Amino acid sequence: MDRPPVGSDAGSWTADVALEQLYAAHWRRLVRLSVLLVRDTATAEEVVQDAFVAVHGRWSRLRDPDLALAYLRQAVVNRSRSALRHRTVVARHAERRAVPSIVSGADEVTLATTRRDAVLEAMRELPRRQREVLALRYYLDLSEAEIADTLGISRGAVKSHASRGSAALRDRLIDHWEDRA
Amino acid sequence: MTDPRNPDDARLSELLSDAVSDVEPREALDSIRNRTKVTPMSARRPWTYAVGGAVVATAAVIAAIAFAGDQIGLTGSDDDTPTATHRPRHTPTKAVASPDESATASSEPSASPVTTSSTLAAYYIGDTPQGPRLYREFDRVDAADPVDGALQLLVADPHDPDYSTPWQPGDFADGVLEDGVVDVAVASSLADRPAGMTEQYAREAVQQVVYTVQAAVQSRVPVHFSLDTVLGVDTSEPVANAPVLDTLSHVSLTSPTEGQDVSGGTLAVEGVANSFEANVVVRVQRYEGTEIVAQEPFTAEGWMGDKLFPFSGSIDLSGVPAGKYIVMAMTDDPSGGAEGTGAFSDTRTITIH
Repeated sequence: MDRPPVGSDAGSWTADVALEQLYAAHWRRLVRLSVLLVRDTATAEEVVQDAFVAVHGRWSRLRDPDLALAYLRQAVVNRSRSALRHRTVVARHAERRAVPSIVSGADEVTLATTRRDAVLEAMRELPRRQREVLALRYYLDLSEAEIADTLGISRGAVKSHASRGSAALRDRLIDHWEDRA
Repeated sequence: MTDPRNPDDARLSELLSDAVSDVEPREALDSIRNRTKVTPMSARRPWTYAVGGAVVATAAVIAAIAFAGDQIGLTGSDDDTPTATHRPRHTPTKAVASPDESATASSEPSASPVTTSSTLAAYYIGDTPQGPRLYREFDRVDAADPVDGALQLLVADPHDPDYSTPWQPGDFADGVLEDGVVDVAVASSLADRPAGMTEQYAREAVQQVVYTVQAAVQSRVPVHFSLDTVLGVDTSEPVANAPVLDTLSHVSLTSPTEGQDVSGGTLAVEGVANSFEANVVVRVQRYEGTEIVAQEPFTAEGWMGDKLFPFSGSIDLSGVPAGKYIVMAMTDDPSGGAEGTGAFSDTRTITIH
């Protein structure tokens, strides 16, 4: 069993306090992770909110910040996956894209926006597992073992999804590979 | 695991971080707090009911449990809550494959792009004189395939407030039937048995997955979990279904369903049981108090062997005043509980019009 780190008062940590601290530390990053998986920001926000609600409900079984974060990550990945499955997101996404959200130098915006769109689009086109492994590896910088735990697959599978996925992504993003704007 | 010396790795990290760098999510702490306030989920963690061993199945106790079910948010909860009773299971829509999913499907042949709506059996845990056992409910679910549907039902709240499920959304990543085994990926946080959960409950919880998945694929295939232990139960090898009579409640009602409205003066009853000499007694009693307004003996199609046998029939309700009632089906226990087991029962709350 994992135990709370020495000196922490994790034992007396209530679900509400835990929720606030986890929110403060991880809300934005987890929404961004979900955007890499589902692309649509509103969907990602819903997914991550649901994950926080779930972690709160499970608090009596986690009671440990590291476990809670692992659970949150897992919930975000799983829920992103079901959001894709049940997606009515496509239509919503089309609406949203019509409105450019960033304001700065025109050329710079175009270049950066094009590149961001291309990356998200390329992620979307990958098989699900590859997309998940890449997001966890290259965005959250998780270890192979952590990714295996999060996805419930073997480390060997993580390795092969990672290498196939990154090769595929590189091919698709060849136009953006060298430009470092 | 990113190797900073590998330029491709570094560039990929850069590109992915950059791709979402302009995503600034709206503040959501308040709305999360609202949702966690509405359903204090820890208060209705199932093993809080399961603790305490044998519950004497008197009408009063059953009524109290049913009432407690109402009290703790099963009926009064906010629809927004992901744990709200039936929300995920009753979306009658048929999802259409998005371009994205077709792309996924073509490279991953096992993924089905279309979800279909179907009725599946799901097992939930309830108390019996022999400790926690599995009871069966049927439900409609939208799913990509039967295994996916089974996993969705396992994490949904049962209709009957007497039952519980330890599984929550996010607990199962995936389930795939391949080569006569169903692989189920379980959240790694579920390896250990949580404090307060009995060993017997944990074993039932694992069997709950096995039985529900088997019902979905209509075959007694073993389930291979992605973890070596699930809730502390050894799952290093594929898990087969445990014997029926050691695992399931010996009686389970299919009809009426929980909360059903009944009119026309007759109650159709259907269920499965394994009871001494195939005798099953079904009674209808007032929800408030203990008054029995109708009682009928039923005969199941058998009683020898490690299985449950169907029974069905109807109960005459003419002259029974309108109101809320409890339907209780009981196995026959000739020893009156003196020889250990005691009778099994299953209950439903109905409204007679």
